[in-house]
Amino acid sequence: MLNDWFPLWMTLRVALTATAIASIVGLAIAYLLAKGSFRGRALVEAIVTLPIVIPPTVMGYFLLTSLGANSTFGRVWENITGSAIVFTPTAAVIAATVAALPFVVRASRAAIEEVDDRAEAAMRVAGHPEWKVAALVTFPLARRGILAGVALAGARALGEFGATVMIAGNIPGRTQTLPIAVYDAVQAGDIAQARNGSLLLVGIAIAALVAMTMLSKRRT
Amino acid sequence: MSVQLHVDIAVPGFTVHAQCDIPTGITAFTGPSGAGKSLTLAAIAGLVRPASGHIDINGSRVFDGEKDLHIRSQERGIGMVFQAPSLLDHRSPIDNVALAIAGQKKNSRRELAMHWLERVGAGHLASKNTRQLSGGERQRISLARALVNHCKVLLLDEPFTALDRHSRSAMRQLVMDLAESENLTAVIVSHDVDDIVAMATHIVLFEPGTTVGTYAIERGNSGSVLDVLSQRKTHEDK
Repeated sequence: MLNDWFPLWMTLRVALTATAIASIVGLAIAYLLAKGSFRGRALVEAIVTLPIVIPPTVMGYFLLTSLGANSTFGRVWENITGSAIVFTPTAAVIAATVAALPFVVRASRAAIEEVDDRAEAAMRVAGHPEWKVAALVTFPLARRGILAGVALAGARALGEFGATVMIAGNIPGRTQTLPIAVYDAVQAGDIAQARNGSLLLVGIAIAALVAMTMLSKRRT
Repeated sequence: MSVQLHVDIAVPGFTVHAQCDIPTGITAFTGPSGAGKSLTLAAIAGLVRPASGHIDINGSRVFDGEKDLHIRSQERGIGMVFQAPSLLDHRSPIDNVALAIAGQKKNSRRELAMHWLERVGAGHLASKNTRQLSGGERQRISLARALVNHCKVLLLDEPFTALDRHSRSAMRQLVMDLAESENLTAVIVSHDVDDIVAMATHIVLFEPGTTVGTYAIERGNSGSVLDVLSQRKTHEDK
């Protein structure tokens, strides 16, 4: 099995946290894009989708310049917390969140747009405010699409490599995730460790996707 | 209780000019498909914002284009039933009705929901699987959901279209009984002459993009309904 279990623990922690954050933020953005009418909607959608189409290293570069010690955000963060944000587990979570976000947004937006607006209208005329219409009708009826997006986001966060290695680094016992450990093992010629790590990642990803598919099909 | 409107409603590619005075009782909106009947109903409900004009419900102005006044659907005291019942299939019928009640405790909501399910003859369906209900049963649940907040204006957008003959007749009678016992101002969009003859006391006649007029008719008298509808034919011939 694995010589060091830390990368697996780190990967699970980062992927779960990133998926949770991406799900909440992504759902809010998806709802605004599906229901809102505001200027710059196409631009917001393009920016949110960007992590799917640009190379992970480019995304890592932008994150590094936005969050690094020389950036405004980096300086503010350092003044508040006393330490830099880059090359920390938090940076790994940020990279995974940004990578996972578009999957939640795109799948959820499509699902929300598919919801029968008469079901929403019936609740509106019954006296419910918009947030309650969303909570009672829109999200429950769109749940399959939303869960599919969350599953894809989780899988993407689990396998995040390029941006993570650029802003969180490859520090064993601190920021090294399993995909990075696999890369390290291949570089060091330790094929057995690379194989074991890869199989673990594939197994976790399949289990997560199957669980989400079953959850989304479950009937109440 | 009455509804007065004089509005222009614009959506991409279509504008409707609607002017009518809807009294207590059952008023039918009728006219050709695409004339703007459902759009006018949606404007009364506050689901669509007219481009100009005004709408009064029971003497209170709920829309005024000049004053930029648009009271939200939630505050208009309206119940609405759609052509497709649009129920939440993952919730039970009683939950579907109870969820429409705003601002009460869960037990009170369920009690009130049960009361209205019984009023529409669907008390025995309260805990059934919503997916397995027939079209007529779904419309009864939908009607209970519309009435559960004690609305005084009930809007029905082609509510019987998907129903079989027997369910249709039973639903007509149910709506008439409820309109009378609850003293409702009900508006029904319908193409069906039988619906109009059986239920309506007034007709608002639509032509594409405009209302032609409001006519009082004698309920159950098909002759008076056909007289009004023949005006539509005359307009079409012109």
